[in-house]
Parts: sequence; C-alpha cells; structure tokens
Amino acid sequence: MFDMAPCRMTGRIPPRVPYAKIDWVSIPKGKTETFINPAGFIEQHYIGTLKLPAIKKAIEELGKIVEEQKAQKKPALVLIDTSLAATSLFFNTQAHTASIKGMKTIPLGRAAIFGPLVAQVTVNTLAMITGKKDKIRGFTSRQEAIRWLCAGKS
Amino acid sequence: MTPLLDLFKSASDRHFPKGQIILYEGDPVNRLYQIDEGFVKVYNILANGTERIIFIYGPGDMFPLTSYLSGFGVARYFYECMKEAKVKVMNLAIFENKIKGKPELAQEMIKYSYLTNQQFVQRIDILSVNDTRRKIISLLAFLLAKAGDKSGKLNLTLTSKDFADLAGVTRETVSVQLNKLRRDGLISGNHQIIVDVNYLNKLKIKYSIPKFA
Repeated sequence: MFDMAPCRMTGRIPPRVPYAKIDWVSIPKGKTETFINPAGFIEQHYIGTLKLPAIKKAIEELGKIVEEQKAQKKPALVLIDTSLAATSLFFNTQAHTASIKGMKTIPLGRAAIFGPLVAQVTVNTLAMITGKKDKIRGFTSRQEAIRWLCAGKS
Repeated sequence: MTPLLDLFKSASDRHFPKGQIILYEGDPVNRLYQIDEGFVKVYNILANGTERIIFIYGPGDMFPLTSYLSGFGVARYFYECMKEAKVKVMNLAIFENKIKGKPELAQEMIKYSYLTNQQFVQRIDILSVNDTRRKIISLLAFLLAKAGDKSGKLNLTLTSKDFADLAGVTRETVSVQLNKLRRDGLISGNHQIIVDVNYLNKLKIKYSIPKFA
C-alpha cells in the first residue's frame, strides 16, 4: 500500500519514464545517406531536420556518384527517399536553390523522389521550373518510384 | 496581385452557371483554373450516393493545383459551381512555359499548395468530429474564412442540403443545430447567414477549434 501512495508524499521521488524507454526513433537525427543499391540505382536518403550545408553536401555527393556511374557507362538512375525528412526541408528557399542547381548540373538519367505529398509537390514544381519534368519526378511510394525508374532502364 | 495570380492575367475568361460541373472526378488535369468571381465546391460521392463537400474555393483560388503538382494527373474530386462563376482558364503547356526558369514562382506555388492541403486536412478533421454542435461551429468558422466578410456576412447562399453535405450529417440534424445556434444568437438570417464573429471566436476557444490555415 505504501508503494501506491501518491507522489506528493514527502520524501518520495515521483516515478519517471526511464531514459532508455524514450522513443528516440521518432525523433530522427538529421543526416543523409548515399549508396549504390544492389538493383543498380543510386540511392539517397534524407533523414530528420537538415541544414543547408548538409543538403549541399548530399547533392554534391550525388553528383560525384552519378559522374562515376556515367564514366563506367552505367545508367544514372537515382532513387531518393525523403519519407523521414522533416517537412521544413521542402520550404527552405536556399535548399530549393541548391536543388535547382543540382537538377541543372548533374547529368541524371532519371531521378525518382518519394515522400509525403509536400515532397512530391516540391520536386515536381522544381523539375518543371528547370525543364527536367521528364527526368525528375516525385512519387508517393517507393514501389511507384522504382517502377518508373525501371521503365527508364532500357 | 500575387505573382501567382499575375500568371493568369492573360488567361482566357470563362463563365460557368450555377450547378455547372467544371471537372469530374477522374478527369485528366490538362488545365488550371483561377476563380475571379463566385465559389466552386469540391466534393466526392460516397458509396451510399450522398455528396460530401470537402472544400470550397473562392475568388483568388486556383485548382486543381495539388492534383497537378503531385503528379497524380487526374482530378480527385468533382468541382462544381455553387453560384455563377467567372474563371480564368489556362492550358498546362502554357502554364509550364510561363513558370520555366522562375524559382520565385516555384516557392509561391509550393507554399500555396501546402496551405491549401492544410486547409483540406482541417476540413477533413471537421468532418470526422462526432459532436454535431462542434462540427457546425467549425463549419461556420470555415465558411466565414472562405466566403465571409468582416461583419460576419456569408457571401454564399447555402441550402440545408449544402449544410448537410458540408457537415456530413443529415438535413434534419443540421436544421435542429442551426435553429439552436440561431436561438443562441450565433447566427441570424435565413438565406444570407450572418455570423456573430465575437461569439464565434468565444465558441472556438470553448470547443478548441483551431484557427483556419
């Protein structure tokens, strides 16, 4: 009975959620990952809240890998996952400018970007602005994005 | 005039009578519309045949921008004039040509599309509420934001069917609730509803209704 006494009792420490039990997974740390997918796509992930230098670095990295693939006469098909990125990424004016620059300079075969609706709208709008609508497209799901990329493989 | 509305300056004008469906659900999106005058309701038809009005577009609004920008390619809802509307219509190819190489317009479009989506989400939230009184009060707040003036007068004549379709309840329930709100002094007028803005703001706090985006 004493154990169930309210925490207001003097001398007793209120129960707290153990530190280890906090769901840190739902608060992703800002980072990007770029790698070659076994299926042959260049895959890039944007996770959490990202600052402009991280975005610029990721675009540069993507550019380098695309160039390498091109040099090896491999198709430069890019799959970008933004499903875990913070929404602020899609409203960052400077990130838009960096993306537009990337879209114009990187010799992409095709790039499929998937994520929330705002990601699709942002990607398709920027692709339209740069005149790369046929090569860059936003999708709701990974499956749709891969299907479209595969269609461009041949 | 915002840069986005400026784009439609040279677009062709079209007049649609009340009740005219501009876009049907599933129609390919090959034009963009910008409302100059009038109101357009956005709705879908449920399995039981009833209409569910999701949204109302008013003067200055553009549609179906999100269906187009998300790459969906077809209209997700029906778009019908609630009163005679004067609309500017632009072909997508012309629109794309106009915005090419203009990143500042891209920002505007992304912002506008996001804001509209937020408003859609808020509307869907209202539709999912169980408390009818709260639903009708939220609906009045939405209508005031979209089609009202500062004095609280709605520039849109709504029938009880429209109210029922907007709130997702039966006409009878709507009539009962509107009569109660009329007795409480929140609304007045029959065809042209006038909302007591101060009272509505108090009720919004009481029922924790968020500010419309």
